[in-house]
Amino acid sequence: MPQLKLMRVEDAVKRYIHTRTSFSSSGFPLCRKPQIFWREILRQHINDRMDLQVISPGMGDETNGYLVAAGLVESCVTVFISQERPGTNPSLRRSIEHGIPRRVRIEDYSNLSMNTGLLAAGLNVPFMPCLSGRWGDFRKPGFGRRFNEDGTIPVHHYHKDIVMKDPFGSEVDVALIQGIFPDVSVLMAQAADPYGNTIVVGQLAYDQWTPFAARKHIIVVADHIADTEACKHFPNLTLVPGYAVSAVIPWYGGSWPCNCVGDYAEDIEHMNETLKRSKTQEGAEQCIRDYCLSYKNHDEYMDMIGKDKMKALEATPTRRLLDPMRQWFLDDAEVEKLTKQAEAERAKAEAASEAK
Amino acid sequence: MAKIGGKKELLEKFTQQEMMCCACSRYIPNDAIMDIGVGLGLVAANLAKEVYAPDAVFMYESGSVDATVVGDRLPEGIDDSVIQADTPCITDLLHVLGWATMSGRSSHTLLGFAQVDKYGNLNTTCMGNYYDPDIRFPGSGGAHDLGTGAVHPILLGPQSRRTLVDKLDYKTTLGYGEDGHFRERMWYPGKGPMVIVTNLGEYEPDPITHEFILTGVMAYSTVEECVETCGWDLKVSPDVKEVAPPTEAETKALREKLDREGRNTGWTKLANK
Repeated sequence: MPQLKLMRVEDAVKRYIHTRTSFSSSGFPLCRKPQIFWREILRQHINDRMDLQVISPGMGDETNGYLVAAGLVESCVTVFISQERPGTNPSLRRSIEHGIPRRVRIEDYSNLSMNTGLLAAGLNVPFMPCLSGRWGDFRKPGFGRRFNEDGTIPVHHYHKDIVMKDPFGSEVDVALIQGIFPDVSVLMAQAADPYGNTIVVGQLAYDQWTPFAARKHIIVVADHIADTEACKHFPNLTLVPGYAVSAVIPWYGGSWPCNCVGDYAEDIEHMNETLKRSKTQEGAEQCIRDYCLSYKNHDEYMDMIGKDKMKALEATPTRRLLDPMRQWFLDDAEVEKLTKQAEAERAKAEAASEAK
Repeated sequence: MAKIGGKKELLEKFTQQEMMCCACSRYIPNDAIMDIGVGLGLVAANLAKEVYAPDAVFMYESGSVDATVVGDRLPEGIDDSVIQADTPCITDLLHVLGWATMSGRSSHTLLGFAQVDKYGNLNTTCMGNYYDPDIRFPGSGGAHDLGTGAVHPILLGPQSRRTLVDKLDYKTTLGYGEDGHFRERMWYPGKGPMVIVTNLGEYEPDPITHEFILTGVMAYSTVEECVETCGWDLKVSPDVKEVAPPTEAETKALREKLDREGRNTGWTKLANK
């Protein structure tokens, strides 16, 4: 039997997120982001410095802003600190412009060059050529990369992209984009089976390759746990195969207020409200208390969103993307049973490993 | 030169943002394959699709290709669910920005800016020192890639001496480079920006130097106003024309379909609409 991968969000954060962990995020500013995972990091480490590195094309979303406002982030690799129409995240601006509560270091890319850097990491090569990055200030010194296990973050004082002429003689100049290697990659998905086979529908943005850039672990947050038959009927929609996944966290609504197409739309009203409240440090801290620290379990989390609000978000025309799969989604009781079974199997395996 | 522009009374009937959207939309042909970004450019692209270019194919860099917007509002971003419910192809960013754009298949794009210089280079990253900025803007997103690869970028943004500048605080996206000739030294799929549209005028590159010169004045603006609010020593084309105000079809599409509440163009605040 393949290994059961189900894990509770609190256990996954304890297990995989430590001081100086570098982690990447799936999705785009409005789309399919594992917000519940970032909320859990805040719940466990609200008073810790952590020095995390966040690798995310869109750093402007609600919980990335909270991580920065709480002082948990040392640096971020990104292309965009806005949540598009709702606006630039004030917590990011406050940190970058005024050092409140601390100055986050930023390594800026464009979308294609950052995706190319993650592709390089996914293919386990140190760099990848690209037509983007040959001109402009992206070539300012970057962070350098953490190849050492001690977790230090060296600052390399050379241009982070090097331009070279095609050595095969075409005369085309290319930028060499350094691989971007997170320790952990966290992927928000519509569904996964209990063994980690992960189904994603809708826009993929960076996610064809970002999960595979992780040097250590791929973590999946799934709105639904599905029978493996769902993957077998639509195998091309299985973005990540089970063997590659370290943990599957079942959490419906885990992307809120971002969308998870097929399930719910983006909650623009909430984004506008929290961005407005985050204009002051005190406001951002109150938002953290209200939206990260206030719930005790999934039921209370759904109450926090509001039943009527969730119903409205679920009336999305994108539901048809996921409809053919719903017949294989497991109910809460079955998921809980499998999660307990996974916990027991893990405990047994770890005990055996320690005994050795 | 015949007097052009100066019809300030027009601003009682439409907003400068509406005028920018209309001016941009007129540059988009029916066979365009377009990379769509966010902001006012998204409104302008959709206006083109309504009025001038119904067959244009829209690509959103996060993956939706040839999407039809579902529902009664424009997307809040390029990854909004309203452009993922009715689309024949959803793929990833490496397809849209890597394959389609870098192979020159993307014919047009619309790029906003915080600063632009006389060679059409853009800053959307910061004002002041990058490492200790006075103001931090959103960043590149896909703008750098679209400026590199899209064949005919259209640039749009508000005009002042702080936005049309002699020197950028941060070089985010290539126009024609610092001396106007960078694209000639390094192979690029894109030809460089075709026009800058501001709330006051239109600027097109000189075919030899690639320095942007004033070629159009919004009907309510004047040549003098464009020159005074430009941060570089602006040259004026001898053929400078007046940019016509919004047509009935453009106004109808904007106000009755694309921006009913005026959130993007502010038209609902006009006293005499």
